[in-house]
Amino acid sequence: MKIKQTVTRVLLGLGFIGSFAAVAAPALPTYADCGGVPTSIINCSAGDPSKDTSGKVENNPIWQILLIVINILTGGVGIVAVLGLIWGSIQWSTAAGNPAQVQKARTIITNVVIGIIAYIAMFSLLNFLIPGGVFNP
Amino acid sequence: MKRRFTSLIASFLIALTVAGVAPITMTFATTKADCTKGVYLLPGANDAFSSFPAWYNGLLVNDPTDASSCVVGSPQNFVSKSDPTGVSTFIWTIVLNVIQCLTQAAGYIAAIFIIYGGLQFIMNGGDSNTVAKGRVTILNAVIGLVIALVATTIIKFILGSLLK
Repeated sequence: MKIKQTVTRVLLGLGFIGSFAAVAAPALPTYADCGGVPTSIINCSAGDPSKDTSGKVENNPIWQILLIVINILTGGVGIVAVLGLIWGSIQWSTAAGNPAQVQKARTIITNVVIGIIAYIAMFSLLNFLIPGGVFNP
Repeated sequence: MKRRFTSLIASFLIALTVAGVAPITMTFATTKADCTKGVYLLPGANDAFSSFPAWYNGLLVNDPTDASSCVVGSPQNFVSKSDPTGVSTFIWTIVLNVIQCLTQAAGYIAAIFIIYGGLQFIMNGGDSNTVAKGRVTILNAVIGLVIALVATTIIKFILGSLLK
């Protein structure tokens, strides 16, 4: 069992590394210059103290990075939940007559469901607390 | 027996993934390539139900230097109103392709284990214990298949109203 798991993991890892290494990463055009550091994904000219004196938190580069992270994470909740469910179902299918592995698959699926419920609770609470909603950057 | 089955399937899938890396740059006869067309890893298949999608499906754009070929775009090619940098779209498109691979793998694996359970059923040699084992194997394979098939629908149903 140990050997099979190790081999599978090594092969999966090699596959992933291989599939990513094959792409020559395209050079991103530079958007802005943040204190001498060129950036591609955030526009930080608004956060430059010499150009922006409004003092608004929305114009801060750190705020913009936070928005990107929130955007990525909220987009991924459902996708990762589907990933977990399918992984659990594959484990269930391959269990054959082994009750221990069925139990393992059931635990995975239960945890996915708990995660979804926790996310919904968090979302509702934040929408209740913060006027205007948090997920509309 | 079962272990050998599983590792065979796993190595088959990995071989497909690695093989799918090769056709990153596709050349078409037309002057401007249609980069929205998906790439699927099994030869001859071009729809989502019969084959594994390449991980870069949905991320191909026309090569800026040569419009007759497609290359994997940068996040800035996928900027939209809800995603000002395109990074989110870029990342989750890859994950969605992996999910599609896994859903199809779940289908193939369930089919193989239903066949395996059926073999246990008919080749029991009069042993009622093996018959019961085959029954449980088929049952578990079908349960796994059903969960994999409805997973996307359930999550979309639950989170659809929250996440637009």
